[in-house]
Amino acid sequence: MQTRRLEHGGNIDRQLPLYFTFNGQRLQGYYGDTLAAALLANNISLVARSIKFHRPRGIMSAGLEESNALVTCLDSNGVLVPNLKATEVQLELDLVARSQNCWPRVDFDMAAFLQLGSALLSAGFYYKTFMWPKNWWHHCYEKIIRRAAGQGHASTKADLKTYDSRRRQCELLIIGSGPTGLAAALAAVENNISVIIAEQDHQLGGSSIWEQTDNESTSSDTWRKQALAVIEENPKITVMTNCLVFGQYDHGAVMAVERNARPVDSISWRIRAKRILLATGATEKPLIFSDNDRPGIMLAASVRQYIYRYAVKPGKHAMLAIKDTTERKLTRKALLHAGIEIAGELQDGEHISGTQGRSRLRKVNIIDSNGNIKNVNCDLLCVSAGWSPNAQLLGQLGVKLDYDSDHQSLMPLQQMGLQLCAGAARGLGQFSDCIQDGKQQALNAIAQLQSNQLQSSQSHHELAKISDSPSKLTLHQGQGPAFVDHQNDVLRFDLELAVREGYEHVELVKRYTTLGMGTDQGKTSWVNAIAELERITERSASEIGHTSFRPPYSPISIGALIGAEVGQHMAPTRQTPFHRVFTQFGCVFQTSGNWSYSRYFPLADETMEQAIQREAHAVRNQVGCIDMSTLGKVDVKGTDALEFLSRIYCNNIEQIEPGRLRYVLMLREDGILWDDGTVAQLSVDHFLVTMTTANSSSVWRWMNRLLQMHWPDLDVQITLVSDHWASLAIAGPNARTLLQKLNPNFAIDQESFPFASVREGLLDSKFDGEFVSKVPCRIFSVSFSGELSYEINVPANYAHWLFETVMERGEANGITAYGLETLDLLRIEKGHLSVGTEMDGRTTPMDLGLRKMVSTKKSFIGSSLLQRPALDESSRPQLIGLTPSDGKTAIPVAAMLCNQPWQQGVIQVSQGILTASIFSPGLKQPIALALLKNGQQRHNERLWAVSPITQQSTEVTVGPSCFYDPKGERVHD
Amino acid sequence: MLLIPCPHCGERDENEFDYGGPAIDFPELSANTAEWHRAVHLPDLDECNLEEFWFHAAGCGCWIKTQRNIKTHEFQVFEQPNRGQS
Repeated sequence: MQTRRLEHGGNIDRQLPLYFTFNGQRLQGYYGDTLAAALLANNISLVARSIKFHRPRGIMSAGLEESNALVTCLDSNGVLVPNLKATEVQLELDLVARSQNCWPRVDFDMAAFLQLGSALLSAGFYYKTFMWPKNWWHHCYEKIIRRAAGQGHASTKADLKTYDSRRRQCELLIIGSGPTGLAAALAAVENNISVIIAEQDHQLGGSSIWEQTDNESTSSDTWRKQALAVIEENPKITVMTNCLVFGQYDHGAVMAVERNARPVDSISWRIRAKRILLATGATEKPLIFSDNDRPGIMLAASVRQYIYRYAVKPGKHAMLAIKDTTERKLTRKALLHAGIEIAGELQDGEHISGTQGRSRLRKVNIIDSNGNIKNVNCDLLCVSAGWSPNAQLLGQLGVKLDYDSDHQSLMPLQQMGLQLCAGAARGLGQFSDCIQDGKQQALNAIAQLQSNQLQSSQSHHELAKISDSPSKLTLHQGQGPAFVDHQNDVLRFDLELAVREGYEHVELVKRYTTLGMGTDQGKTSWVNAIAELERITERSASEIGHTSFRPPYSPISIGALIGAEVGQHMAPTRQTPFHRVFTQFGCVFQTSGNWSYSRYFPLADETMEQAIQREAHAVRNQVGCIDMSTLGKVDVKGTDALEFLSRIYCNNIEQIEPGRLRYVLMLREDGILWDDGTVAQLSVDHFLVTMTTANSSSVWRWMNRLLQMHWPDLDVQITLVSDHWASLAIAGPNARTLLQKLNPNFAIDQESFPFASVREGLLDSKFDGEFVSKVPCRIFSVSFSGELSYEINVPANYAHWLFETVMERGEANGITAYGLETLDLLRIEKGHLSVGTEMDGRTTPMDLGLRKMVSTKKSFIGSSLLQRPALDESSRPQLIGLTPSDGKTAIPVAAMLCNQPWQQGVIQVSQGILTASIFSPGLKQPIALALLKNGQQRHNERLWAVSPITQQSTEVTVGPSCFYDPKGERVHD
Repeated sequence: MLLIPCPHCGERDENEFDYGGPAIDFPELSANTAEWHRAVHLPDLDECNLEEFWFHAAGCGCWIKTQRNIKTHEFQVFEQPNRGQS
């Protein structure tokens, strides 16, 4: 039964009753309610337990500032979402919510019953208490404390909600749609500029939805409806409701999250605006007195909001403790409207010494100026110590807000950079003032946009007037705890303690006491805390300052920030032109960077190991084929093309001739080896260069930078052609025979097409004596496997044809498709380099035994810094090969090279690291590559390959890095 | 979330660009080790106005050189030495 629902009024749809469950109890609310409003309507006052003391807590506010009523909700996918404020949860059908921080029930909490919290838990309690004995922290204390600590419990299930991230831009972004925001939008309409209004509530209007103006002649409700009619009609205004702007970034960028969005659950918006108007309103400050946290003690404006907006009676007998007289009048009027009896009012000179009641407020104790104590029986206490502007978004840019002692609040400047502040967000209180200011600041922004000028105003709230200057906060002494931060259970006593112990700086106070570190980000506590610190430290509030404001303004779902980029969509997947035909061929793929790359091609029920051994055997003895399309390819043209290549590669390539290619090394400016590849000369001023898959985009970027920024005088044009070609390498003793079967229109015998050459022509220009088709091709005689090999490049859309034809015509020659795993075995047998293992960003060409490839006759990128003496010291790690001394024991992967085998507790100095360790199918024994100090001079030395992780060690013998065909005769065949 | 003024495309969002680090003037390739060391490892960096390279990868494909006030993020663009790619 909604016993506390008023008969009439409210901004709710009584035709749409919604049933929901709270702590297992089936309840009814209406469409338009928040969970908090529906709970109050059902006369539920006890909603949660506090974090440290497990004190009973109710609903304190009606907005994002709520620090008491935290609940856990079950979302539509059955995933628990903790720490939601009951005041921000929109009521929906079959909503399931429950109290948190209590066991077994919110109304009977064991921790509270046992007084586990109690006064023991003052600020710094953990730091002081759990110091000794020292090793107990790890074994004992931490485990116990971790179990008790924390707010709510995160679900361990995957988040099944759907998210997206999107962008928008506008000339004027108005954050907040209260009277100020709406007035600003109306002013913008007349000036024909594009506007976005972002409102975190599900409807526009802010306080004008519920607040009654003190002036009877202008009804805020009527005004709002007129404003909305104009705004909704205007195509230049984009309205974003349920949209919380949580972060302010550079150059007019803000981040917002739209909840309950369509078609996904939440959308994170990145909005870029030319001017941003903060019409974010203000937050009411609570009063600090003994036992100020009981359910039933509420902010005065929130009480009015529950009465007028939700038609809910938060109590039956109310007491008022409100500093501002206008607000007192408004609250009195609201209480009368709801039929709530006014049991008393706190008069000037009186203060509250304590409250009573367990799950609901029963009694307020008051001390008057003569020291007489009286009790007021009531179940609702409306409190207000004034307002603090919501200028956190301005503060996020690093601007410190000034403390204004008249308002006892942090006040923003009227404008900072692209941001303007208006209305209650800069200290205005009255409805009519806010409207006037919203309009005025919007016109300011528009004038700046039109004149394209930035006005940097230093003026503070010159319009700001408050109806009645509130008296200074008086200290209400009492027996019970006086809460400054309700959510983190920070007491006035804790602030005093922190200062007494030397944590005087505002940032230290925050960290020592945890004040303002809860999910409410101290919206109701920080300004009060500054006043408290002012009193305790006897320093001025402006000297005390405030802590940094950082995004998010209010908690948001991390899922929304990630958007749709989860799982497979975390990064784009790149497929080579062979992907489809490989799939038909039963290929097993692996992800390598963004690439989905062929790993191996199992036959029937082969295991990976079996498949790899078969593939490697085929390449060494017959012929295999592998996809090489992921290599980067850049077409280089121009009269200075050779000069350019000569500057970026360290090899002597000046003598290259058309039709030939070179294996080349690229160094960084500091002389460290960066990338390897080939340079093929197609014609006099035309080259094709390749680079490793991993570095292709960074090398492309680098080439562009050199040509554009450093050497603009060179006549060179470069084009990235990586994706234009499908590239299939055929490798093995039968490679030439197979290539002939593809009918190239050029001679391919050893003499006409030697190793390290390139040919351009056509494939299949004749077949069976008859013309069948013509496939343009570029064929490179290069080898990564160490066998006779041809890398056949055809335009990407011939990939399917090329692979099928090679497999078909090569059948008699034993053609076998192989993948990345086999490629790796073959290159390790040959001691060929790979990026990330041997070329690890620390090695020089000399370290890797490639001194001969470094030209001494020319200058190139890296040549100067390569001459630094330390880069050529023999003590540097150098590439060597390892074989097990007994010829058969496997060498542990990622091992270190040491003098002794692994032994428990013995620490050895590593002399080198393994970069690769395999079982060689060609040599029929384990082999490894390693970087060993002075390795090139240590051949035949015996060392131990030690893996402390697997606790294995193998005795190994040092040797050359090339295990297979060291003279390189097989590539010529 | 900077807005970077590309001289070819206008003000564009930061994530269209690859960062190229502080703008370095390369010495001659044949310059000695000390000179290259200064250029690569010890560039003159102003404490406030930082000269930088950006690559407009998702835009015109041009490298640009800018000056950024690292306190206010105010940008200035230099005349570009490049001939552009597009």
